[in-house]
Amino acid sequence: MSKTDPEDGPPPFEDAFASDDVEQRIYGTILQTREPTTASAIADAADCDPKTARKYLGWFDDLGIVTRHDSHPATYERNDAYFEWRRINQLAGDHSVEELQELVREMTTRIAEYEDTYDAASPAAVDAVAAAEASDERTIDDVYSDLADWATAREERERYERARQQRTGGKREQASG
Amino acid sequence: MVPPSGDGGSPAPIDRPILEFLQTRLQATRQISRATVTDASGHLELQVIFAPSYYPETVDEVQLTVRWYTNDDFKFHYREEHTGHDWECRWDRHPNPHNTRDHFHPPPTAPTPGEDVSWPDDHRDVVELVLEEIEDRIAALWKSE
Repeated sequence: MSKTDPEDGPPPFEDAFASDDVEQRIYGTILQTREPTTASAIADAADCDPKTARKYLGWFDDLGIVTRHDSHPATYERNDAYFEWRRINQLAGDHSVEELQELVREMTTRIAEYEDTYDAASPAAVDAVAAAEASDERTIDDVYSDLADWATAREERERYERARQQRTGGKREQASG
Repeated sequence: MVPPSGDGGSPAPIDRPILEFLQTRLQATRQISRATVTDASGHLELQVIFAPSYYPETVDEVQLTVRWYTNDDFKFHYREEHTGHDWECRWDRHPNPHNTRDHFHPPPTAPTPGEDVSWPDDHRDVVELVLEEIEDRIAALWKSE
């Protein structure tokens, strides 16, 4: 007597990228442009013409999102320093000095656990294959995930610390100004 | 079966700007009820929760976790929680001694070693491929109801 027909199923998935305009497509391509790359190669990847790509890359260069190299032809790559700066600004805006201190402490604890588990000072110092062979619980995939998460935690701690410094620095300026 | 020693140097951290780019776009689609960049599970990742209406009632919760690294390695882990058991698989790109760099840990248990495959380079193309396979899986789930 049920009216629901299991054959109907749910509606199809929506395309997550369908509404990206050309600027957003170039931005998405830039995120993965980790080596100096020509505007025409970026245009190919972003599915637009090279003239349009050059226009937006010039704009992204002004904003600092890409680094432009004045070779012939000019090349562009993602500017990691911009994304670091943006993230640290965001953290400094969203959290108090005390919260940032607590986040630094949490990351320090997490990092110490990895140092303990792998008996090493940094993820680069671990031989992943040997670590997996020596462990009953961890497969090589687990070890690689751990090492990358460890590297991530080290970066995150640095960001929280820089955001904390930015806030305390800002306070001092206010007090003296 | 070449050991990955010396391959790629230091382990690469998570690429947060890529996770945030994907989060915004996935969050806007009807099949996904929530997408969050979070380290609540002890490591940084993009957690994607699928809308329950897309699944038969026998499925409790469905989650896709995405880790994308600054060397363009990745892990997409899909997991359906059914009463009493999980159904899971993983799309991976990372050096390893058990498969090619690009490989798939197939359902229902995502075992190691997996299957050697080749994935697209662009993060958006990988997401589209993963979502297509999840959509096929959902169609199969409804058919078996």
